[in-house]
Amino acid sequence: MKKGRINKRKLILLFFLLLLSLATLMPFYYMVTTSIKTMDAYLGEKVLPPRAPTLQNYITIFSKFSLGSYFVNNFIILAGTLIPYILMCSAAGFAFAQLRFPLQIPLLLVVSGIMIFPQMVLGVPLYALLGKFKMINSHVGLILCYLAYFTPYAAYLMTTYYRNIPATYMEAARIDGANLWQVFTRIMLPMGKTMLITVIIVGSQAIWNELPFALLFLRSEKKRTLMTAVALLNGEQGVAAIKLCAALTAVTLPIVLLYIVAQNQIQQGVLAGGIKE
Amino acid sequence: MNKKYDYAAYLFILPLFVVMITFMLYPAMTTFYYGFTKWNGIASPEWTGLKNFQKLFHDSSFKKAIINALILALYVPLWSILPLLVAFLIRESKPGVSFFRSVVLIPFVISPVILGVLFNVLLRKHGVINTLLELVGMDFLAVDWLVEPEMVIHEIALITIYKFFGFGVILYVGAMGKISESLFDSAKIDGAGWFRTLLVVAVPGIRYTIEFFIILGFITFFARMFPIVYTMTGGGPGYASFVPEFGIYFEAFQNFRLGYSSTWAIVVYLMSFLVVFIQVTSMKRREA
Repeated sequence: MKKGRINKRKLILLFFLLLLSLATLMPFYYMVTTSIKTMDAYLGEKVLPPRAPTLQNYITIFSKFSLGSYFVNNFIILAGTLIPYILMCSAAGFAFAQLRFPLQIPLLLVVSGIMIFPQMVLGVPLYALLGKFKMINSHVGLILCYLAYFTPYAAYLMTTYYRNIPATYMEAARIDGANLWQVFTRIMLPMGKTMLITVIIVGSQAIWNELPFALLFLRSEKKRTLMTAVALLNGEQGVAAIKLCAALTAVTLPIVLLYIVAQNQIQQGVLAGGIKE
Repeated sequence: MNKKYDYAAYLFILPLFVVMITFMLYPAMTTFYYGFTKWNGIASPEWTGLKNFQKLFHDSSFKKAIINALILALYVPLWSILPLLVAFLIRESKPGVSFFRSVVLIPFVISPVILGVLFNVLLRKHGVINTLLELVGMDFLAVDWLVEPEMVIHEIALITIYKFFGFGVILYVGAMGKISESLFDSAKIDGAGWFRTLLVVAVPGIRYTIEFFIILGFITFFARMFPIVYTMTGGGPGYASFVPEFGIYFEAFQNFRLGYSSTWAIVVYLMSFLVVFIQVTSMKRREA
C-alpha cells in the first residue's frame, strides 16, 4: 500500500519534470521549426512544424548576410583569447594555491572581486583606452578586454582546484632540483587538466556569447562577431522572422553541441563558482 | 610550518595582473574622473564638477531607468524561490532527474542575445505566443506584447528568470547534497511534512548558496540586463524598458556625451556596490 503511494508520487514528479522540460525547450522548438519554413508556411501555420521543410533561410543568411565570415571572426577571437587565458589562469592559480608570498590574500581578493564588475560601466573608459592604443575595431583589442574580464574568474577556479593538490608533490620535485617553472609546466599543468577543461569550456561559452564589448569596440561590419551580427540583424535591418530564426539556430548550434559533449564540465563549472564550502 | 616566501610567485601572477590592471581596474577608476567632466571623446575632457549629477537627477530618462531597475528587483524573490522549490523536489536523484538537469541548464548556456532576439520574434503581435493563446481560446490575453509600455519590463524580468532558473536549480541541488542525510531523516521521524522539511532543514543548510543567488539576482537585474534588453526591445517602446545600462550606452554611443555617460556608469557602480556592501555587513552582523 505504502509502496504504491510512493510510486504514484514519483510518477507525478516525473510528469511535472517532463512538463517543465518541455516548457524550457518550447522556445527553441519554435526557433528551429520556424527556421525551416517558407514565408507562406510561416504565415499559415505558426505552431506545427512545416510539411515541406526548406533550408532556403540558411542559404540566404549565409550568402546575403555573410554569416560565415562572422563565424570566422568568432573563431579567431576565441582561439586568440583561449591560449593566453589558459596560461594566465593556471599560472596564477598555481601561485595562489601552492606558493606563499606577501600580499597573497589581498591580491586573491582583487582577483575574485573583479567578477562583480558590470560590463557596461567599463564600456566608455575601455573605449577611450583602446582608442589611445589605436585598437578600436581590432580583434587584438577585444581579445585583451576579454582576457581582463574573463581570466580572473578562471584563475579563481584554478586556485580552488590547485589547493586540493598536496604540497608534497612540489616539495619532492624541488628536492630533485626542479625550479618553479619546471614544477609548473611538468607537474601542475598536467595535474590541473580536469579543472582546465572546465575553465576552457566555461570561457569559450562566455566569449562566444558576449555582446557588450564586441558591440562597442568593433565598429566595422567586417570585424563583427556573431552576436553583434545577430543583434543588428533584428534591430537595424528588420529581417523577417524565418530568416532571423535560421540565424539564431546556426549561431546557437556550436554552443549546444559543446553543451551536449561537455555538460558535466559545465555543471561542474557552475557549481564551482557558486558554492563556497 | 614556517616556510620561506617564494618571491618568484609574482612572476606567475604578473601576466594576469598586468592585463587586469590595464584593462579593468585602471579604466574602472577613470570612470570616476570622466563622470565629472564634459567630454565628447575627441577633445580633452573638461572638468565641470557636480554639473553632470545635477543634470542626471533632473533627467526623466534617469528616473525611468531607476524605476525600471526597481521593478526588476521586485522579481528577486521569484528568481530565488522558484529554483529552490524545484531543487528540493529533485534533491534525491531519481530516474529522469539527470535528463531534467541537463535540459533546464540550456537557457543558461545560450547567449542572452539569442534569447532576446528569439523572444522578440515569439512575442510579436502575430507571433507564436499569441497564436497559441488564440488557439486555446484566450484571445483577450493576446496583446501586442512588445508594444504595451506597462508590460515589457515584466516580460524582460520573467525571461531573465527563465534564463537563470536552471543555474539556480543546479546550484541549490549541489548545495543540498552537502547537507547530512541524517538531518532529513530526523525531520522525517519528527513527522515534518514536505514544506516544513524544506524550511527547517534544506533552507538553513544552504543559506549561503541562497544568499549568493539572491545577490546574483540583484546584480543581474541592476547591471547585467543590456544584452537581453538591447536585442528584445531596444529599451522601448519609448523608454518603457530603459534600464540604467542603457543610459550609459545611449549617452556615450548615440549622443557622444562620454562624460555624462560616465556619470550614469558611476550610479550603476554604486548600485552594484551597495548590494555587495549590504551582503557583507549582514554577514558580519550574523557572525558577531
